[in-house]
Amino acid sequence: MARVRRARFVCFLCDDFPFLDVGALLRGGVEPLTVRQVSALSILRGEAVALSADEFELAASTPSDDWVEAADEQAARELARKGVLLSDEDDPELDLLRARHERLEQTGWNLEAALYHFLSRWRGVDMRLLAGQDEASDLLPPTDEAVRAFVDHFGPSPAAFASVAAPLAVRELPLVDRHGELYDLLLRRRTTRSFDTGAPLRLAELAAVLRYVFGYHGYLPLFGRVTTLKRTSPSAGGFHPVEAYPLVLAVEEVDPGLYHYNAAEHALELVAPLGVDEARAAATTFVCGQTYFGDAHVLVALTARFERAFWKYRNHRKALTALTMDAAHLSQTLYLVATELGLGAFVTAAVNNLDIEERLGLDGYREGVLAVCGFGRPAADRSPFDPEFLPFVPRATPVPDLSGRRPGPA
Amino acid sequence: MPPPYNVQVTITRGQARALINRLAREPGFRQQVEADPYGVLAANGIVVNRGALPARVSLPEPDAILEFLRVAEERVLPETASPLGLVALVIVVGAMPLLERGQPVLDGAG
Repeated sequence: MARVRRARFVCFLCDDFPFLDVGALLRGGVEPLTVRQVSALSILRGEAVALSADEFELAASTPSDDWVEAADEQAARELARKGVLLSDEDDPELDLLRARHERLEQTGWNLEAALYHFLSRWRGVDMRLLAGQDEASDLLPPTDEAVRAFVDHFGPSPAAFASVAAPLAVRELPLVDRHGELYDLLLRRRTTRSFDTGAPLRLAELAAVLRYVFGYHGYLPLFGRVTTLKRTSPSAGGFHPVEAYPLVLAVEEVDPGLYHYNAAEHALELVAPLGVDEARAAATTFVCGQTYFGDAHVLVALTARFERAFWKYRNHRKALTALTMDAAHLSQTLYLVATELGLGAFVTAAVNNLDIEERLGLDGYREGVLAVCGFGRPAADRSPFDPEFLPFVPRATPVPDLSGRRPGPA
Repeated sequence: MPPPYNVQVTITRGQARALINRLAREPGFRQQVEADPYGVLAANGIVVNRGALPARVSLPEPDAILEFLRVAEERVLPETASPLGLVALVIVVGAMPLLERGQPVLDGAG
């Protein structure tokens, strides 16, 4: 007889949402109906699954800290397939879900962080399809009509500038103008969405970006058994659990393909050789059909080695936030290094995590994808997606949207 | 008076959204439902009293379902896996800007 226990990595939701009255529907009518549905937010499956009342009762009455014999094997099996129970049955799907649970426990995942992370991963999302565009063509900017419809529907955006509703005092600060390479770089930093696909990067440019963004420039052994590291960006605990996987499309002396950047050796480790067209297609898939990013010379998938981060921050509610910040710091440093080299850069969180993880052979539990950034030689002509910002100087530039006073306390 | 359908719905918000969308937009799926309402609905988490079903049902016109979607969209549409939702509005996520009169007006990553 199969033995089961309730998964620890599951949450329950009671949701009310509009639906169609099915009886009326089958008679040719449309009548709205509110459905009240209990669902399990299954971290093991990475999705919400609806539960019947009987299923919820079975889930609630099954312990999570002890294996018990299933009174109703079929019902227990169905609930195990939904990622709510764990079953010791010899079944490939149930084995996989049980293995995921073990990895989550062994890696030290916090429940709330796991819920957010594993239910927000994407697979197969393509913005061109979502926008009703041709998936074989470049992603097109939204039309004026679509933008207007959006604003009409949701109203104008909240004010661009924020300020306190009723400040006790306002102290104007001097407008300090700094000059020098760092400040020049900061002001030139921008997102690039148009790359010169006819001019490959030089190997030295790739090496410079990798060394000064993802490379290590110091280390500190602690107690002989723990090594912390130093990059040009900060990291929680000095652990630097974010890894870089370059997808090389057009770099002299480097074959197109998917690599891992081995920072200890400052070397590229080939994960998957790809033809140019195959690499371009993979790049576009990685960034959900954002074709202007898929044209970059190098994309870099940023992954988190959860097992390293959670070794220190065990079952920690803030650890995932710290990891996300680590990735964000690295992307900003990449912007700056690329700018200094005369290259363009981008970063996006709109990525197909699961597709990338499959390509990289990552399980997603010990190590998984957070974001994708990239860089390359900018094209002479900007993409229609690239904004041309107007200069702004505090207190000197008249802008139309300065009504950002926050409402005061009630 | 026809017997009641005794409908049992076990479906998530996202599945509801997807099902309504298919009923409104996919002629082939509508034909499947009309030909085999019990089987197709059961496969989508909706169980009805088979004995109460006629051999063939007729669904409402797609436009009527789309109108329901339009009215209900604020409550049924929020969807984590789709940045664009069902409506023909382009919603910005990530680094994709919105443009107005050829000029960018919104941008996720400047």
